[in-house]
Amino acid sequence: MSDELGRALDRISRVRGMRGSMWVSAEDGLPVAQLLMEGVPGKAVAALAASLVRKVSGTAGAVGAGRVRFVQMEAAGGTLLVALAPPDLLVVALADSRVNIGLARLEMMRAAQAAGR
Amino acid sequence: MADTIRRLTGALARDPASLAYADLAEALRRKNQREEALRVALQGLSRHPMHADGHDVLARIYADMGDLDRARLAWSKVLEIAPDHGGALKGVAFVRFRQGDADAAAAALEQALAVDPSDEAARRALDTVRRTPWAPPAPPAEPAARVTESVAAPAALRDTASFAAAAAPAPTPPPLPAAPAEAARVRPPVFSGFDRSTADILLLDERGLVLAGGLVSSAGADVAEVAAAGLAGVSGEATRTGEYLGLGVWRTIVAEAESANLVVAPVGEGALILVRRDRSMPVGLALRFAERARGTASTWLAGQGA
Amino acid sequence: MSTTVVEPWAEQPLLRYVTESSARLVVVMTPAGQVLAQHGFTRAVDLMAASALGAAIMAASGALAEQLGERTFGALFHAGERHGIHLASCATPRGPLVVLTVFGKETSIGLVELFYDEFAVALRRAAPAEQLREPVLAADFEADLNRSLSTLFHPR
Repeated sequence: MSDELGRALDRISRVRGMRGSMWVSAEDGLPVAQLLMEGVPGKAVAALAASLVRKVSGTAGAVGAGRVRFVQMEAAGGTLLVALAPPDLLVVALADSRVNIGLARLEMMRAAQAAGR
Repeated sequence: MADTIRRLTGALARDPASLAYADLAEALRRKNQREEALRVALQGLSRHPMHADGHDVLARIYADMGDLDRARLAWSKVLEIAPDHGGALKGVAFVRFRQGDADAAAAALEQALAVDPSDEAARRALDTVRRTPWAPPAPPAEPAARVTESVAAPAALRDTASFAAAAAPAPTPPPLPAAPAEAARVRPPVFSGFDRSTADILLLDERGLVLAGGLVSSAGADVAEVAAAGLAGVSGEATRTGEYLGLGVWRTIVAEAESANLVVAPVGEGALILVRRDRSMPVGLALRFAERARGTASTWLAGQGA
Repeated sequence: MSTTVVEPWAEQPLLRYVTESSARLVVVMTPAGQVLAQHGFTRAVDLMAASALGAAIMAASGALAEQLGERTFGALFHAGERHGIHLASCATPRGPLVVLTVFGKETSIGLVELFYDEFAVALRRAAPAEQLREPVLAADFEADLNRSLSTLFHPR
């Protein structure tokens, strides 16, 4: 993977509670680059995260909230975080329940902004 | 065109269960044979009631006939079946625009563009809507050529229609749009006491049907139904994501967007709540607010025996 | 949208695949183009065209792989403006099968690939062991094909 994308994933993955992070093609739902712990299903994370973001974005548009920048889905056993890096990338992170969402979000938004430049 | 109609009629005669009814109805509609188009569409939909493209054609036929209410209902049906159906989103936008609600029209077009950012027809229509300071009223009679401008692809897997040309403003001022309170007034006042209870808090069931509360656009248009239809899809996707990724049952979804933060959460079995807060409210506070609203919704649903 | 099968064991895996991937059209066929199951087609002529073309693309792709010294290529994916197609083969006790999937903007190639992998596993598990068959004559093949199409489009 490119140095810049790799460094971004490295910083994100250092946040406590992270199980993996990846760059995903927003339209295709395919992984572009990834840094995952053993057992994390990268293909599934990429495809499902992209699909969820697409549906959330549709709803946000319908209610006049505008373009979505960040999505977090908290579940009983962990959290899925997605930062949108327009025009066509997502930064996706999978974390357990202990994760510092605030810190993870900051790193992911920073990575997304850098990718957009 | 006559050849196309002949060919499709033959195909349908050989196989009455064929989905060719939708293409035939569209071809008849474009030839201004609206009654015939309507008959074909309704007959086809009686065999294929969950055929999104069929309902889309039906909606366009009703729009041609000037029956915007039926057109809107048909497009709503499309969105129930396929929440990301670009044609239906543009159709809803068209109806809203005709009814004088440019903001609701813009919202629907933005959703269409969120689904397919390459949809140039939606982009042009959105530009037109945004440039229009007010929206035209529904015209008393509309020639089909003006309303139904662009071409649907001939194959069974059809693309969406464009109404970019039909969105041009008419020279008379619009009727006053329905006040948002009127729409929300008919729904149970579950969230009275909460800030913006009928404009920014929506309770819906998992099928995408509104139960209580309301959602209003910046111009005062009721966007609750469109939002509810989309949210049902979000909930299903979140459930699947939780299962596949071993995250378990989902609890909340927070979306930070350009002009608002959205919080979606399940309420008991079979219901969802959406809370929209201005960007000025920190996400953490929005989550707490949403949790309170969810508790209220849960109590109310329990009282309904739901 | 209808789902019909010639071989009953393919039905449940196909229904699940279609639901999860949101595919618009799916054909499950032998490498020779004989259809075992389909979803979304309503006319025999369309299904025949899709299965013949799908089988031909897989055969050509296999020949190209051979030229390059590859055993086989994985799935093929073509992205169009409004639709995409995914074409892949999978080995089953019934013999190799080819699956053609057509999908629209409401889903993505990522989702199709994800659930195709599951589908391939499900087909492998569900397929009965291939029975010894007599060599098929051209006339028998045509009759076989017509019987398949008849089964697929005959209302239950």
